Amino acid sequence: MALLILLVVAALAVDRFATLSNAMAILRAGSFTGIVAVGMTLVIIRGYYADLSVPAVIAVGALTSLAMMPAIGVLPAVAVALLVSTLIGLLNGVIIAVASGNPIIVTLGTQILLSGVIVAITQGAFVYGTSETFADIGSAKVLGVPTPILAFLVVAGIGQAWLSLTTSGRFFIAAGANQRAATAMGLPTRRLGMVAMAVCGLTAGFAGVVLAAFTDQANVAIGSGYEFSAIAAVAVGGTSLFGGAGSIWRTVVGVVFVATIDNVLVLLGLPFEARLLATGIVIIVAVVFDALLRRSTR
Amino acid sequence: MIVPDRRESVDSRGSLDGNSAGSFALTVSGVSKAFGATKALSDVSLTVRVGEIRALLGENGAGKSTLIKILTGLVDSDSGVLSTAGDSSSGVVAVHQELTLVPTLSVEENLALRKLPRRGIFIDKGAMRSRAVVALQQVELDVDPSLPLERLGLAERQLVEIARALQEQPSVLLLDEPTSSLNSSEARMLFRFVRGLAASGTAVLFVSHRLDEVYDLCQSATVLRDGRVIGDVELADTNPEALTRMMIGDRLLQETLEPPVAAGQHVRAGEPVLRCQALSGEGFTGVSIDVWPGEVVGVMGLVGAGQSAFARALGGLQRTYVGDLHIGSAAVQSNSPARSIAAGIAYVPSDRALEGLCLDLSTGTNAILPSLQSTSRLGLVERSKTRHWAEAIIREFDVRPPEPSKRVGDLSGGNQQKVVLGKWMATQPTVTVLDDPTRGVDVGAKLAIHDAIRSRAGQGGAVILVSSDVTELLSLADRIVIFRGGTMCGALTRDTWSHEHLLDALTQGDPADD
Amino acid sequence: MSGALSRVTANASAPALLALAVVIVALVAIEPALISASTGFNILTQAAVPVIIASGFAVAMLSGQLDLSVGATAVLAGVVAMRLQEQSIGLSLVAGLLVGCAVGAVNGLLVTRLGVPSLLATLGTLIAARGVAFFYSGGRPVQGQMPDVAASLNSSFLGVLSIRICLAIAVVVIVDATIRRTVWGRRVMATGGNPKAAQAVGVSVNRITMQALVLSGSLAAAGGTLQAYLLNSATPAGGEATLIVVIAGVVVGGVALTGGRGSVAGAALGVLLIATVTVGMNFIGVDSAYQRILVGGLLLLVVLTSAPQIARALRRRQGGDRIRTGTLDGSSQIG
Repeated sequence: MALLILLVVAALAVDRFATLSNAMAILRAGSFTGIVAVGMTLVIIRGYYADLSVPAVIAVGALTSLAMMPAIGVLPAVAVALLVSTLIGLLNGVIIAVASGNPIIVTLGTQILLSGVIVAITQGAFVYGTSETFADIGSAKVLGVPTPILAFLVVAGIGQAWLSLTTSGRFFIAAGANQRAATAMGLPTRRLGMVAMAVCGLTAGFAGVVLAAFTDQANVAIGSGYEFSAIAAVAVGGTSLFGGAGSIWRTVVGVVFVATIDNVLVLLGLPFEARLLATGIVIIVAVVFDALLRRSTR
Repeated sequence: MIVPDRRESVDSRGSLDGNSAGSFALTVSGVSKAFGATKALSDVSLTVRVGEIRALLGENGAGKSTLIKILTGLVDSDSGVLSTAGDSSSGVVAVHQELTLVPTLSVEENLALRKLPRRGIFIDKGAMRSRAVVALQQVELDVDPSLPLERLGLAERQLVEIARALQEQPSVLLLDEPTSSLNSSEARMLFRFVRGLAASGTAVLFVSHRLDEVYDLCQSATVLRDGRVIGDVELADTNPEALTRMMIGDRLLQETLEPPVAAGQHVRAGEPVLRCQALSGEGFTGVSIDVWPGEVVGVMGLVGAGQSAFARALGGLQRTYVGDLHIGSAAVQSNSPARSIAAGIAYVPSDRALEGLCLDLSTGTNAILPSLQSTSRLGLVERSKTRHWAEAIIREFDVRPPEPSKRVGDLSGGNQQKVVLGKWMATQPTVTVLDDPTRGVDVGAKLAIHDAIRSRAGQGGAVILVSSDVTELLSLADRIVIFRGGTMCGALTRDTWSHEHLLDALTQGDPADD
Repeated sequence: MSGALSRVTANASAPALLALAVVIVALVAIEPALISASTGFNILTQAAVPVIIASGFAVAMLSGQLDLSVGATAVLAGVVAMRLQEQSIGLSLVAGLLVGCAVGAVNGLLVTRLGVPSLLATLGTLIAARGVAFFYSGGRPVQGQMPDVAASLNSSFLGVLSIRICLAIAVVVIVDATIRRTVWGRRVMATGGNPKAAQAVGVSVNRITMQALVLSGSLAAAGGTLQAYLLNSATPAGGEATLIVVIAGVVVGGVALTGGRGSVAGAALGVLLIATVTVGMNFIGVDSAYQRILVGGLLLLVVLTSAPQIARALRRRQGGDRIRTGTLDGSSQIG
């Protein structure tokens, strides 16, 4: 609803907004955030607040795929990148589950540690693409739709199907809604947490691969800011940051919303920094709204 | 049981306030309180004399906690008068079973926390120390006041809590189940101290579920049931059986509402489906019992006698230490709910909100959760099938409103309990363990729950029903086992039971204390 | 002296201390010249600003709240102070500090009025403050107008002291004493240690929480403003790095993530130790990337070793564990 209002107001008030090419631009800009946001949604629904290691994992995905490509070819390099990202996410999940750690502290620690490792290896330098096929895929269009958007839609589709069609999807929601009840019901709440973190690692790594294919280059900073825009997209979509409720399609709406605000700010000639401000405001408003909503149902 | 009259000592020494002995330290008259539609207390009157130790008795839900909250000023009563003797404004000061101390602060800081002495902007450490020394002497506790509280044992912490309450010079000291975490020698130490306190003129209101303790310590008792005062007695004039009858009695009268099913229906066939041999765990010891298919075993005990702990252990929610548990021919190492469920045990917890339901999710989602695995194919939820299941559960248990999409937290307590029961019954468990399934639900929901238990047994499932409701047990159970002092101490069958038998079995001395 | 030291280190994370000690010993073994007055000065200089921020952060954590917004608040305060410096120094300083009060107040309101967990509330204000800092600065470092002030602030006196070191020491001493020796401080500890118990003895838990979060924001802003004046410039980036050093230092220094346990002096010691390692690594030319690895790893190590089962095992070895587990069926005894 809010998205519709935003779109109508933007279409009426902002020149060059309501065009097909601009719509594609919005979606493409949002698709990288969107892929991450799918994994983030799962983490938040499970009741783990957020995964702050996303920027480093995106960099790992992008750098690993680009760096391995000359040696082992496109597909194996991508596979390795995704595997490593998943393992990092799993490691987060294991530490959180085994040590009853605080998800935000743990993933913050991973973020710092991992970015340190990346800088130690790359010295902060850019790694450039070597495969034309890879770059071509990244900038290709299928029926006029850029591949990053397709990748986002596929990931979101799989995520939504998983969450709404499978038993384990329901279990994530139950574990986030009332961990004690879920445990009493025999649900493997810890394992669900590990899986959520691993999947978030996988989606972040995949976002890195897609980014790498799109830009054909990457450095340690390629993923910075995506953790916050992903959380913003999840929150504004209406998935409760308290856990136990939400869906992927809501997150898709949130991604489009956040990307549209970005786009409008750009069209209005405001600087890039305005975008960060908007992200912050969106999250605060969403948190307050969420909290008020919860109070009214109590 | 001999109850020495300690009021004499008060007479001889006089009270601290200078009031004459036998005057009232606390007078409560005509107090009522309702929460929404439920009446928690109606027209409750109660007095405690200076130097008297009075017991406040009642089963769960009798209104004790509400009365305590009103006495200590946490909740305002709707009507009625409450007055305390003396000019001290502190009135009734409570010491709760859940200690209200800060484990990470020192003993002296905990003692002074309500009103820390200052010198300038800083805390006056000297004053704090000397006050702490006085307070600790008063409870005869010899510990270093600068130790962090968490380094003390539970009994010592209990005394610190009492010392803090006494600093306020209360007209009445309220002890709310103070022995629940103490062992018997610690409890005896506490009692000796409380007697001394009363002897020097403090009025004490003692809340406990354990009648042996009540007889050991108190002179008189006020019994609450369903929010009303049922009895106000001198303990010397009564006996434990009579007290118990007062606490749970009128449920026996209600029996006419729901006549027991004709006895002797259940015939034991084949092997027992649940075998439990010398099972011990957190909160219970040495329980041995066999349960046959189609049998309903009632489990009864006063609060804290171990029956709930045993039920939780069967459900995998509480640890077991030694002993064997077999379901069919398979041994169960039940230390997680998942394992218990895999073995065929469904545990219906007594606390719906905490362990039973995801309150923010819909009725349908909650009802279907435990059956998801079995209704799905390849891990895919088959939507139409689960909807039918949810609707079937809602229909069968008459959940109102019958809307699967309604948030379950918005349902009434009775309907929530129907959802909890329904979701487990739908999995057709081999053994169903229920912990007080009808506590706090309305009559309609109660009947629905009773029907569900009968039909589960009719289909050949074994049922273990823990309940504090005698009528419920008499009408549903094929046999009733009694828990006392953390262990099973006897069983009654339909041929041998009567109300008298049950009451006797419940109230005979507590073996754990001998 | 040894009594004071043992008080400060009483709750510190032993595994983390051990790890840091090993690194420090290794560094000194590699480069004995590290032990010198100038190294000491460097360490104190490097630790000064994080220590000020950590003092406030520690108070919030002692009260049971995690304030993730301190790094972003410091950055925002620095940017605001530099932007307003050309108007007047007074305005710049006051505005810088007000930024912290404001962020802290928003955190406090979200936590106490709306019941948002502090983790979520401060994550929100972190992102918001960061956004404002970038917007207000145009994404570029803001140059100050007073290089001479910066120079005089940076000059040392008495050999190992400078203005910033004195300020940091003053903040730690005052905040530590406030927590240990004032009524308010004890209420903060009670609120973090057992909020229900605190409420039961008449402590206004909401008010204490609010005040602790405002203090945390204010000290973060003070640190950020000081940093900006010292460098005569403020950059809108780098808030996360500050946050991570502060969190790592505070938990290494023994302030429990769950509240009510630890001390401000311990937190300062933790930050100081991390600064020691950082300075030592810089001295022998270790890449700064490895410092990130160390700090991140340290944080994960503390989380792992404070896991309930592991922490219990460690406590038992120290022989202080006299807590008896319940023997009765406590779960069903709600009257």
